[in-house]
Amino acid sequence: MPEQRPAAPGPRALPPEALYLGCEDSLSFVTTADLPDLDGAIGQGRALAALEFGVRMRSHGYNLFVLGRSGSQRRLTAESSLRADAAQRGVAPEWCYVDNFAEERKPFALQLPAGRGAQLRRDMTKLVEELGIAIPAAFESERYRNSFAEINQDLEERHRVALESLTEEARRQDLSLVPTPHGFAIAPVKNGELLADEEFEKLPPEEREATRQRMQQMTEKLRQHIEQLPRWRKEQRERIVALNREVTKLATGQLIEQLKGRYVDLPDVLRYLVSVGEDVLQNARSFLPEDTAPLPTLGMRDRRPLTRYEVNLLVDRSGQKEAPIVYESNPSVQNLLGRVDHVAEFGALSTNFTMIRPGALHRANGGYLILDADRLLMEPLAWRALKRTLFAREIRIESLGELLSLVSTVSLEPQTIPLDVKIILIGERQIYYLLAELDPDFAELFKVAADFENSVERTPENTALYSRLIATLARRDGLRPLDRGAVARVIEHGARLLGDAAKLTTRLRDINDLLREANYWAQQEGGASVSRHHVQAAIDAQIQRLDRLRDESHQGITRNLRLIDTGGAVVGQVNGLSVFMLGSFSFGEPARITANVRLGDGEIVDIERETELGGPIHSKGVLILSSYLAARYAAEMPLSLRASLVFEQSYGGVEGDSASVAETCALLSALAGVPIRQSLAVTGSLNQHGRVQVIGGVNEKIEGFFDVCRSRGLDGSHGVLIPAENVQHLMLRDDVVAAVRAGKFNVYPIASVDEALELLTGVPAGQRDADGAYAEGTVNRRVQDRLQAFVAARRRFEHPQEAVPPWRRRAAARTRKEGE
Amino acid sequence: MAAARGGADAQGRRMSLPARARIVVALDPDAPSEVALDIVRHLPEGAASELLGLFVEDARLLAHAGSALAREVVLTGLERPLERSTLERQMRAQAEEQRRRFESAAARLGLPHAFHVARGERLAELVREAVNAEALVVTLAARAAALRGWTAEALHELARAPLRSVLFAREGWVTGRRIVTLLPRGDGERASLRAAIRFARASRSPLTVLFGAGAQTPELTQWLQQAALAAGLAAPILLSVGEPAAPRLAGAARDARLVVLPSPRQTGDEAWLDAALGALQAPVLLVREETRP
Repeated sequence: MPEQRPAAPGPRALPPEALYLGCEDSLSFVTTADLPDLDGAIGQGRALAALEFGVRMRSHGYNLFVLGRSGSQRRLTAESSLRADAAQRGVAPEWCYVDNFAEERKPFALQLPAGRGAQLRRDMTKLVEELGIAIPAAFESERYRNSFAEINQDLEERHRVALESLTEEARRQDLSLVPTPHGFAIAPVKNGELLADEEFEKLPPEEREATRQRMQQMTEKLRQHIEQLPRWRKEQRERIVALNREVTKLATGQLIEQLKGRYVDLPDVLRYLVSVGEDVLQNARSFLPEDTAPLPTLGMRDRRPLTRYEVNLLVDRSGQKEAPIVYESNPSVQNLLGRVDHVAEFGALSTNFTMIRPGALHRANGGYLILDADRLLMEPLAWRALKRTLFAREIRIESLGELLSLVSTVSLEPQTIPLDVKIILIGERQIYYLLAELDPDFAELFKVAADFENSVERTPENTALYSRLIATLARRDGLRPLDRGAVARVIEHGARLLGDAAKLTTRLRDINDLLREANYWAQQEGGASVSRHHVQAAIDAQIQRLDRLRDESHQGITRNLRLIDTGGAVVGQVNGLSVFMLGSFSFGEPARITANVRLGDGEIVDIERETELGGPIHSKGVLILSSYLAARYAAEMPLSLRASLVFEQSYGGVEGDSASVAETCALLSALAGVPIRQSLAVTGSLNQHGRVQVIGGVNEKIEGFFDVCRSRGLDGSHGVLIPAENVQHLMLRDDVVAAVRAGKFNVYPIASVDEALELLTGVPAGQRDADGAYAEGTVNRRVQDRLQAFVAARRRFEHPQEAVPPWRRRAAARTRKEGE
Repeated sequence: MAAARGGADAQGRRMSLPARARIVVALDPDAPSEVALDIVRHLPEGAASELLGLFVEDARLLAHAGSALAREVVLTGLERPLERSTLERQMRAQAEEQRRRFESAAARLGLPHAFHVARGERLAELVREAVNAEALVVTLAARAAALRGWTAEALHELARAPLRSVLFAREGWVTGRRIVTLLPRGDGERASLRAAIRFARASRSPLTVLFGAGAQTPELTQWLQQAALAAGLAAPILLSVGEPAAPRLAGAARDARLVVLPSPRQTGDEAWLDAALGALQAPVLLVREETRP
């Protein structure tokens, strides 16, 4: 149960003990060095249960959205929950990319148990080294050279024999066969000499014809021989290719077989190694030194010689025992899905599988990936890419340029990698609710919400845990130990940050900052531990760094540039209270609210609204005020009033309904003609029945008015009226509490407008008697009378012939009846 | 017909040579001269000599083109008349291409060079140009040997031509390892032996010496070992092959990058040599023995 403070005594001033809930006396240690570390979060049972469920739920779509305020240790808490599951889940497999020798653009992905990827990479490196020795040795061997020469000789011999045969045949047939630049020439000869044209013409016709036929036959034979040369050369090339394969196979077969023996348990790797063996056979030339003699039939040297046998290990999990937990602080598309790098070569961009870079999803595959929702959503296309990947359950690497069709550079299409990952998105509640409302895929993919509390109950148990948490944070940052007073002050500040004495903030970033800064002040003093006054110094310094505007505003009041009375009494004028939020700092200050009334048709003019300076909630408050006024004072008569309300010297927007009680009091004061004490300020929201309701920023508001009053001199008359329900929120500054203790300042809890009126005017508010009339001299009676007077006056204006208004006639008749 | 010597030719067909030692390189469109020039670089005379790239326009072929009956079958299988003008144009183009390649390779190796085009019977022109030269270099690329008529008969003639030395260049120079030399008789073949030692030294290759039947004498062995030692070589391998025969020589010189043989004019009628020239894969350097030790 919450810690108890003295009960608020109704409309009487609160005792000083009610203004600040300390906790030093409830702590029993000397310094935080005595306290054990705290594992886990305080008061986050709901979120922790959701985390545990979401983490262990293996079904598709059970990813988590951790929502809550920033700085509330959501990531640390989530990681802590993940760690327990990660150990059970065990180490994730490794993935690597290897060359697809058949289609270079589509590298293969290989899955290996943790540690085996690095082993494969080493093995392949060693294999390439060994092939670099074995293959050149094989091609330099005598056996190979002999076989090579034999094949060449064989072709040469076939040429030679065929040509000699043709030449000999030509000679027998009195023909000459000689080579020309582009082939062979045939001409008739006689006695070893070329047959001149004239001599040929002198030959008998039959001999000429026979010569022509021999020429024709020889030409045909020569053409047949020439036509079979390409076939012979093709055969020669094929024989040399076969020889090269055989020699390479002999040199490499055993090495590759040995390697395969180490991966018999991994069929995909075995298939890859088989393809490596085949590729080596086809590309043996890649292993020959650059200065090796040209062996034309070994083919062209590959432009990326040996890199194709490398293993691109995306994530090395050697030595890991647990599933990976990865946090990606910059969740761009490429950082999530990976990318393919390119290098410029002679003005063109080129790439290969060794330039595939892993993304966070690769690193987290088989485990968990933590992302900041706002960063993810701000990265172009990242959210879409993540959703698509989660739906497809596989990682497909695509460049941003390709996604947007911006570039047409030929790139890779790496084989997709199956995805088994739990995504943990961390973000503000607003993001969660927006995604849930606007993105139908969100509910499909993020089925578990872990909602972190903004605060925890300030129970004795939680206070003790908070102390341990403070000890843990201090130790983690290597800070000095905090003594009991310092811890108490930190805890109390944790309540003040929330503006609620019964709660403690879970926004540990603020607490961490305070601890470090308190440690700084302790260090400045040379203290061995951090004490309460160090914490207070840190808090004061934080405020001082931020309160320039508060000072300026305060000076404006003390110099009467802004008119705020803190003494005397004025009709239709009251001190309201407002709060200014400036980033992480907020402060309160009084605002003069005035009201004017006159005869009218029941309209209450909110000048803030008319000038469009009032926000909707403020306008709502004024409308409630109107309703309250009409229902309470003019239930049976027209409200013949025209009133106007204004925040004097307010030139900015006004929002909220916390001034509605003050506005009501100003209006009633104006109607009743009863002055309001200016030494008091009032805050509170009004409902239609005149009840005062809770408002925010109560501490800042009280302190704001206190500062103004103190600067002018506190005399015991000063004070602030606050909603009674806000008493539980009070965590006022020491100086305010001290002033109250000294009787120089007061805080009054009020539950109704009547209580406020009595305190502000010093005149009884007045209750209705059995006839529904208020007692003479009370504020309410005066209000009622004034309103009736407005009605009568209005009637006189509208119906001058009727001296007595109907309601007065009805009242007179009722009096007569009672007399009878 | 050989082009006139001396003076510059505007068409680049003839370039003057200064009076210094000369090595004639026969240029063949089907046999790249790069390998030949690399071997020449290691010739004992190579560094001090100038190269003459010689392209011979085959007069016999031109004579064929003069016949209306002559036909040409080109390597695509197409048959057509053999026209002289076409043939001359093709030869000029070949000569120009040969000049460009030769000069480029010679310049790359830092060898002084000149280029010359001759017209006539090919063997005769080569011998005529090389008769006063240090050496004649002929490339026997497989394709050239098969298609261009470097027949056994042609090699026989060249081997027996009155030249100081003839180098038959082959691609085996690149793939082979050792320098091999054969002394068929051993009684006066020191010139080829010296050449082999110098080649071994220049190319940092091991040396193997093959002896014919009865050729290896204690005196020759001692001389050989001392010469090798003086050249900074490892002890040469000495093998006796008996009576020289082409298969035996080819087997012993299987991994040779160069085979150095004494010119047959000085060693009598070695019929086996013609077969060996065809059977060997390695380049062959024939060295004429001018003086007896």
